[in-house]
Amino acid sequence: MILEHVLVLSAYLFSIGIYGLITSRNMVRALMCLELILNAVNINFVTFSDFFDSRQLKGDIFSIFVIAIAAAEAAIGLAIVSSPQNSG
Amino acid sequence: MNNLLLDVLAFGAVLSGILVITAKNPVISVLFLISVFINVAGYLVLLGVAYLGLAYLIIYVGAIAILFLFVIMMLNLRLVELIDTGQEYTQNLPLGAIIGSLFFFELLSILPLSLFEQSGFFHLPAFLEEGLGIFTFINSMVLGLDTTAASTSNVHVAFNPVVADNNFTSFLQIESIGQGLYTYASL
Repeated sequence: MILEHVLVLSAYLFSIGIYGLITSRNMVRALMCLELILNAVNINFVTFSDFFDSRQLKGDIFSIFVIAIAAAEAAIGLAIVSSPQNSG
Repeated sequence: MNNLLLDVLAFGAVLSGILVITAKNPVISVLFLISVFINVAGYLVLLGVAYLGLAYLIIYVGAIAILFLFVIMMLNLRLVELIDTGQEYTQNLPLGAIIGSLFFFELLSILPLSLFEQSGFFHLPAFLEEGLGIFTFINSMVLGLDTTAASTSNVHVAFNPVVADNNFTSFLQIESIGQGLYTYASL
């Protein structure tokens, strides 16, 4: 298991997510790219906790929080997109 | 065999990610987002974090992607959907190249090059090493590291400490989270 392979994967997904987030004209597509960003961050946290923190697993526990916050934020974002004020 | 599946899943995740942002139809975009989640879930299971991989399947594919599908397909939203052709597409490519190269340089400057020097078959050209020396210098100024032996220092080398807890038993990921939370974090 090589450390930089996982970090390169996380960096690729993060870059693709940021690029899609700032250059997408569709609001739902921007929310989907935000989910991509949070996925990349999760992979990064889990990998570093696997390599450096075998004792306390701080990265694993924090990525559970990130999953929960991403779900709540996606729900609220889609509710805002589909509200009657925004031509929904 | 394990490494081949890791590479296939990683490539599938990156390819699906690219197709998320370049698909015209938003429903196709959501389907490729589901493919990203499944690939990353498999990747996490192969890394050894089984609970997180399965939690990805349940939460991301089962709740978030289905929510996206509901919003796109069942509500008649007037979404601005311009087809990225020609000029619209190529005027954003330099921005993508800049963002990609930022991460590329950061990875090349932080990861230890002493591994490559010891193995002997990968040497960076001289101008790239000079450019990375600037990043290493800036990083060491900010973090307060020693700048004299920056390229061969062992600060960022990964190591796994020999812990008594891991010598006798090998925990599953959810057991190790519980052991950490209830033993050391005193919940």
